[in-house]
Order: sequence, then structure tokens, then C-alpha cells
Amino acid sequence: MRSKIKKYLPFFRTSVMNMFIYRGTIILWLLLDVFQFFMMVFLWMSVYEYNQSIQGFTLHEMLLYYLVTNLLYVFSDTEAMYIMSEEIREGRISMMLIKPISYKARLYSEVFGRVIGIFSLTLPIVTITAAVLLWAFNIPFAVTGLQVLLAVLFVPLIFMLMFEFAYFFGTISIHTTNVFGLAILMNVVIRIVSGQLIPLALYPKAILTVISHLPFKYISYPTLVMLGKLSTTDALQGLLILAIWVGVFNLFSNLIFKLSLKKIVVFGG
Amino acid sequence: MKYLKIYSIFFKQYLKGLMEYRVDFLIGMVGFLFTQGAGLLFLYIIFQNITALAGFSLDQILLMYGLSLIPKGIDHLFFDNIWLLPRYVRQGGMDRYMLRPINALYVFLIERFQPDAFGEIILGTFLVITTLTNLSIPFDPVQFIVIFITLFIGIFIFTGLKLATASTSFWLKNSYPLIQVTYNLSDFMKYPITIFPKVMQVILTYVIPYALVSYYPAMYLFGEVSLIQLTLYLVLVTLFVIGLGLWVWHKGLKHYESTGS
Repeated sequence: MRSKIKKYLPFFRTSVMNMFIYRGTIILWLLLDVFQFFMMVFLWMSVYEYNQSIQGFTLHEMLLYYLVTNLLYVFSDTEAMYIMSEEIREGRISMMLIKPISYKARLYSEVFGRVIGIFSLTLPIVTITAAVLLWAFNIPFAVTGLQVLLAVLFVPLIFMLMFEFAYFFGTISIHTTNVFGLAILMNVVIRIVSGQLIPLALYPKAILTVISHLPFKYISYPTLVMLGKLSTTDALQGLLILAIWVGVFNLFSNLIFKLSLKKIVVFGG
Repeated sequence: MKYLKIYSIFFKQYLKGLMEYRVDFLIGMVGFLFTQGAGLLFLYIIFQNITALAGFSLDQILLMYGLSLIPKGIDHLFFDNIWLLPRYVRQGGMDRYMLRPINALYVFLIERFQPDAFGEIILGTFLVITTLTNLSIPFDPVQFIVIFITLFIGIFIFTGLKLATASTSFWLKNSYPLIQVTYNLSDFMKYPITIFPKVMQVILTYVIPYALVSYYPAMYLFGEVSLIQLTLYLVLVTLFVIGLGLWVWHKGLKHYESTGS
């Protein structure tokens, strides 16, 4: 087990370091996000002008919701899909497949490293933004240790869920050469059904029923837990169901990959 | 005349490529439709919970949004190549434009035609027509012509700003984030500018004047802004933006030093 982890550690490390090489650019992008976040703050202020609370969310809760969701959205990474489709299109996948390492595990380590790299750059910026927000709106900071613990437990599962999902779409590019359009579509849909666009509680009943059957709603669970919108029992139940989803996705994407591998065509090396 | 002929040659060449990748074209267009659709969904959901935003109804806000999408889409359709300027500058790719016996900016601009933009144009047109019907604003030839001209001129606001920000890459090498932040501001044009603080309102009116293609023409249709005000504003601000774009481009091109290879 230890030697197995050791084998993939370099991929993880390189990937983290890669993110730090481009820290200047990444931080610049993050600052743009902060700017857009504050534009959103003004929008919400005017939405709440005549309302104390919308579907149980006060203005303060809404602003914190967006801040935390955006921070944790870093873990809902679908980069695996882009890496795979590029490796398949350029034929580099054949080099990867003949190495004595698992294709999926290597990809896992790389994407995980990337996410950790981005997260460590994002965290300080979000912390500063949060401090400004709490100060400007005079929001009391109230979150319990249990809530944080529950939220943290969700994070790795969300990461795994999205990795399996991206891995599946990456596999699709064995059959069709262009998945970028599909990727854009998929990312938009996930933003809508995960609650990153707007809290799911605001949706009309009909849409909500559909969404509640999908696993993507758990992406917003950690934020809801921290805001005290979910009971401990609901959160624990959510963790369990999410874990089952991850297992199912894992089996499914492995199966599709195995079947697709037989069809792969790589142009001369 | 020479310019038109060259454009038609480029365009024919482009169509041949498009015919080869029909599915890509469709997926790209649907992708952009979806991205805009998410923004619309957001507005729709919010209006499920409130009745007015800063005193405007959903239809009034969608009209502003639709108006801004049309020039944005047309600029996207014809002048998308500007986005690649930072890369050309870094890799020394500007050489070939400067060597041709024709205006460098012209060849650079026409090199790419981006049909993905039809998603935005179609959605914008659809929004304008439906909201005008819903708001029961009567058809008036004068207003129609005024809006038509405003939107036409509005295209060059997008192009001018993109050109000005992209041209800074002649000095900065990577000005991509700068183009992106300026361009992304136009996403906020789906809301009336009065919801933002005074500073932002001034910026969106005079410096990065996207309000010119959304808020002000809509206010003109609602009868809140007079024709003279709109025209004066339109002419002065657009001249400034186009002038700025061209000026930065020319300064930048003089500063261009290519690469070693």
C-alpha cells in the first residue's frame, strides 16, 4: 500500500508545483473573481431591498453562501476530462498505457495535486474577502466545530464524484474527437444543478424535484451545513448517499473505460 | 473595394472549413446559448421571489439584456481574432500581418469568423422582440431606426474596448486577464446600472460604456431619456472608445519587437 502511494506521489507533487509556477496568473484570475463577487454583492443588496429573507436566506446568509460555495467549488474539478481528451487526440495515451502505473491513479494524483495547488492559492484570497465582508456588513461569525467537521468530510467525496464524472467524459473522447463543446455544456449544467449558480432552495418545486434525485446537489451541502441550513442527521445521511454515488460512478466509469480501450486508435508514434 | 474582395475570399475559405466541422459548429453555438441561458435562469429564479429589481420589472430588465447581447454577438462574430493578439505578440506572429501590402489591422481582424456567436445574436433578438411585445411598446419607425443605429454603433464599443485592452499586450506580453475583466463587465449589463454604486455607474457610462447598448437605449424606449441626450452620448462616447482602441493599437504596433526565431 505504501509503495503504491509512493509511486504516484511524484505526479501529485509536480502538479502542485505546476500551479505555483503560474501563481501570478492564477492570483490575477482570482482577483478578477473577487471583483465579480463584489458586483454580485451589489446585485443581491438590491434584490434584498424589499425582502428580509428569501426562501429562508437572509442577505448575510446569501453572501456567505456564495463565498463558501465558490471556495469549495475548486474541488469540483473537471480538468481530468480535458487532460484525457488531449492525451487521446494527440496519441500520448499509448505511452501512458504501457507504463507500469495505473492510468486512472496517475490522473487522479495529477488532478488532486492541481486542486490542492489552486486551493492553497484561493484560500488566503477568500479569507481576506470574507474578512472584508464580515466587517462591511457587520455579520457575526458563528460556526461550530461539528459543522466544520461535517463540511470537511464532504469535500473529498465531492472531489471523487466529480473526478469519476470527468473521467467518464474523458473516455468518451475515444469515440468522438471533440468533447470541448460537450464539456462547456456539462459545466454549465453542473453549475445549475449543484447550487453554484443560485441556492437550490430558490428553484421552483418542479425543478427541485428533478435536481434532488441527482448527486450534484451534494456539492452545495458543505456550505449549507456551515450556514446551519442542514441538520446533523441530514448531513450524515447525505454523506452516506454521496459515498454510494461515488462507488457507482467509479464502477461505471471503469467499465466504460475498459470497453472503450478496445476501440482506441492511435496514429503512428 | 480591394478590402471587400479580400474579405469575400477569406470568408469563402472559412465556409469550407465550417462545412467540414458542422457538428463542432452546432455544439459551439449550443454551448454559448446554454451559458447565456444560465444567466437568464438566474434572473428568472430571482424574479420568482421578488417583483421588481431597482424599480424595473423582469421584462424591462430582459429588454436591456437582449439589447446588449445583439452588438456583443455581432462583435463576437466578426472580430473574435482580437482575443488571440496576446499570443501572436508573444510568439512573434504579428510579423506576417505587418509584411502584407494591406492595412495590418484589417487583415488581423478578418482572419477569424466565429459562428458560435449566432447563439448570442439569436437569443438577443428573441429577447428584444418578446419583451417589446410583453411591455406593449408600440412600433414606432423613429424609435426603430434609433435603436438600430445604436446597436450598430454598439458593436464598435465592444470591438474598440477589446482592441484597446488587447493591444496593451505589446508592452505587457500577457494582457489576457485585462481583456477578460473588461469583456466580462458586459455580463453585468443584464441588470440596470442603477443597482451599482455611483463609481461603477460612471465607469459603465463613460469609461467602459456598456450601458450605452443596454440601459440607455432601453430608457429611451421607456421614454425616460430623450433622443438628443442619447445621440449626443452615443456619438461622443463611441468616438472616444474607437479612437482609444486605434491609438493603443498603433502605439503598440510601433513598439512591437517580434521574437528571435
